[in-house]
Amino acid sequence: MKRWLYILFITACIAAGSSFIAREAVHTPTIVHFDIPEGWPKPVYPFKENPLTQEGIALGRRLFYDGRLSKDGNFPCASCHQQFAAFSTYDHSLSHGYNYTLTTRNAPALFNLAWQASFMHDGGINHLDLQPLAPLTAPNEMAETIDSVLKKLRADTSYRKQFTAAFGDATINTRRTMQALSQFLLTLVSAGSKYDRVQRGTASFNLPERLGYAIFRQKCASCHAEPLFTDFSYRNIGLPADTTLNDLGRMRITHHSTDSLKFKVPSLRNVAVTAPYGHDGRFYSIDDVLQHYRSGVVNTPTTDPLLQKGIPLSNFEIGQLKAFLYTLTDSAFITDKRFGIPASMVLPAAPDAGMHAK
Amino acid sequence: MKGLFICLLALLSKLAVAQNSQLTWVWQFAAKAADSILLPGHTYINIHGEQLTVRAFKFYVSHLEVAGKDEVFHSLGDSTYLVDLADTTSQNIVLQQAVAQPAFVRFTIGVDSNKNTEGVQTGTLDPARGMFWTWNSGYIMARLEGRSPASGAPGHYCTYDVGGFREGECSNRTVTLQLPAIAGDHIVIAADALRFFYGAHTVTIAQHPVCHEPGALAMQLADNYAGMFYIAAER
Ligand code: HEC
Ligand code: HEC
Repeated sequence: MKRWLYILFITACIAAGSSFIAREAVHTPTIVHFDIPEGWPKPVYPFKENPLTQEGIALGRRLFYDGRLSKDGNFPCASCHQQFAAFSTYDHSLSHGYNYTLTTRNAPALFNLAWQASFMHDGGINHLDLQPLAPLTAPNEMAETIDSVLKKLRADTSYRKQFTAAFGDATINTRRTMQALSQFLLTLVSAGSKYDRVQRGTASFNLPERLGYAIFRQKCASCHAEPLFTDFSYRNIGLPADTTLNDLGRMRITHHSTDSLKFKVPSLRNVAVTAPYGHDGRFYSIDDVLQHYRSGVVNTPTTDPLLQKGIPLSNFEIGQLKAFLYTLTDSAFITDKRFGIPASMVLPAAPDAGMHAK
Repeated sequence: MKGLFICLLALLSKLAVAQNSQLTWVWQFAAKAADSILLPGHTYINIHGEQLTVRAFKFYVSHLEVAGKDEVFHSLGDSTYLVDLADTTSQNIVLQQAVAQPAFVRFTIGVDSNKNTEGVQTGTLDPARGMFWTWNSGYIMARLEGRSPASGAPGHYCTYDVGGFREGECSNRTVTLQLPAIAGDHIVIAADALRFFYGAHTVTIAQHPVCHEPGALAMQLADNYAGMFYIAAER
């Protein structure tokens, strides 16, 4: 009897002790509320399955800037998605990948991804969490394997700490890695342009901008629909396929000939900083794009009915349209420190940096 | 003191086992090439007289079900299994029997369409398993890969990655098999890899050395391999 009591006592002590330790180790991550800008539709990303947390976002941000996610260390996500270019590749029609390769498409800008249901120019990827797997494993991008990336992350104590902080334990697997990347990507919300301030009544357009906005609503908004500046449909704007790339766009995914040469309507937010343009980056400037709409549309069976005669635009109208498109630049977004490389990852300047400065 | 603890532990684990072992039922998938056992690195000849040296053979099975003589099917759980020629443990699926006298089994070769659209899965469905198309989201439901002198593809490789879950391109196929009168607690389901090449459609290595996306060829291969299963007498 006495012995039983003794055992009971010891067991109780162990139970109490272990629950105390458990409470110590598992501190819950801090939930981050996802703000929906006024007047915007509901996001489509399933936040319930991957709630935003401070720790998850921080982990995703580190992964986004970490070269170790690529085979030779040189091609982090951020090498092709640069913040100052609204996370597109600055000044490159096609981006550079592993071992002197090139991507076959223009790197799109990244923002407002919570409202997007499918990804890539052809919409081939059906969930944001799955998107990073494509560049990660493509031989002309990061050229890695999932297993090898996970191995590198697991070998790093500081990553183990961050995964624990974000997900409750140190398990590092494909899902968690992708969910963390998504968490960071989801925070890239761009809704602070002059256009947005005008909508909220805290700024006003000047005359050319106002005239440009009217033209835009008349001639462009059926595809580049506000407030996201895309309706997420796939359209052929009359671009014949480049003969070296032979990119059939949406048809590659659906195999329907009616989808030949159709590409996802891109958002025009931040368009002033995302040159070059088009799925293969064939247009170097907004002027080139507008020139195309005015006189370059090639009619094939799938050319969009809205564009079969081109879009009539006078030189005046082009100037006004451009004035309006420039109001879509969100300079706070492209300089927001929360989206930049984490301070801990910035390499110290080389000792002779001063000599290269000028 | 210590002895008592161990006793307690032993008792607990025994209880757990007793609860489990009662109705355990093993489905063993046995890879075959016609009547021979399929071995990686070995060469076989398909119905068109084409040689094939197999390097990989794997497929997903899901929606496992069982029925008695009344043909009312009962689910054997929500799991999806990846049966892989290169991994013997993957070929033995341990289940809880759901009917007293099983007469039929039914399963899907493929992955439920929902799992193809709900982001990154874990376990057998982890994209790290290499059975997932990253550029056109969706699982590769079955893979047969090797080399053949009949293949005009680089290196004489032939690769059949069959998948597709969208309407009109769905490569999931349901297979129903009748069990022998006394099935026992271990059934062997043979999977004849050479059935990729005949059945509902004629597919030759010479004409089609590669399948790497959903679509017409994937559908034909799926129709063919849906017929590759049969209950084998022995392991
Ligand atoms: C080598 C350059 C390169 C790297 C590295 C790269 N990307 Fe991309 N990214 C692209 C290109 C090009 C596309 C468009 C691909 C297509 O449409 O076929 C793209 C598309 C995307 C999209 C879809 C955007 C949309 O609107 O559809 C997302 C999201 C994305 N990348 C995130 C990432 C993440 C996260 C990483 C790191 C894991 C990454 N990218 C690494 C070049 C790159
Ligand atoms: C029929 C639908 C449609 C209409 C109308 C339309 N666009 Fe587009 N726009 C698209 C599609 C689709 C693309 C992407 C084409 C591609 O990737 O090759 C695009 C691309 C662009 C781009 C390049 C963006 C980038 O990031 O690459 C700009 C700029 C643009 N459109 C501006 C306009 C303007 C300004 C108007 C009105 C004068 C307009 N569009 C009218 C569908 C349309």
